[in-house]
Amino acid sequence: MNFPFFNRLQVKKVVVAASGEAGLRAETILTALLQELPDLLLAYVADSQTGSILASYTASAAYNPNQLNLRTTKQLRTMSEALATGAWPGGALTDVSVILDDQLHHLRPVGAGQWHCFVAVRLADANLGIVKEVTRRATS
Amino acid sequence: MLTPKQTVDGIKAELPTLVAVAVVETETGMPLASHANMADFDIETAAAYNTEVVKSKLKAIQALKLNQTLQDILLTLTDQLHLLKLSPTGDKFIYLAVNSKDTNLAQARQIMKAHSASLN
Repeated sequence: MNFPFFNRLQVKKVVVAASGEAGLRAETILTALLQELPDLLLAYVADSQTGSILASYTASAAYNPNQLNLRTTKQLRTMSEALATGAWPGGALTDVSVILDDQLHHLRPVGAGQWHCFVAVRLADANLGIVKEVTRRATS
Repeated sequence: MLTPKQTVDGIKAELPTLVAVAVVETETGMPLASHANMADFDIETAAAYNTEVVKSKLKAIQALKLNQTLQDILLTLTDQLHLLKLSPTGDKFIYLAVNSKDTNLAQARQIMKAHSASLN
């Protein structure tokens, strides 16, 4: 069994943590992202129920997907609750973008919300429109 | 410096077709001033959920020790855009919901940016 917590972080390599079709699909998404955004800092695909990572890529040890996956899963759960209660009445969640000083974090539900894809890039390397479109294409 | 009420009025004047706008206290998740053009829009509940989104993102930034400040959070729904913009001190944020057919992301961001800078 693969325990990401015990494993040394592999840098600049797509790491597939899940076996079978889920792992394969997650790897395909990350490969497509890397083709369009080769300078991305961090990307992963995780299960939205459990938060477990299916596949990940990081450009440096400072961007550890295992420190984020449970938080993004919780964030998505809060958003799903807001949508389910009608607090946000504008339809289903397409994506979430967070702009920091010089980084952009983008989160997109995949496959009817069963999984989610997280992408972090430097704003010097990409812009919001590009990241939204590339992630949409890679996950659809 | 503008009060939360003045900020809400200013955004309303620039975006008359907006769905809802509020200035929310980050600590409590309660709106300090708000306005909604949709009769059944529960702005207090929306503000409470938005506050959780802001707080969880701040925690994620801390977990990665990124040394970055949160500028905007942009939520794209099927028919609406929901934007959250923190005040310079971070103790308040502006929440703006617009219909995506009336207002695009860049317009909404620019208006939020202009108003958050002068929010007291």
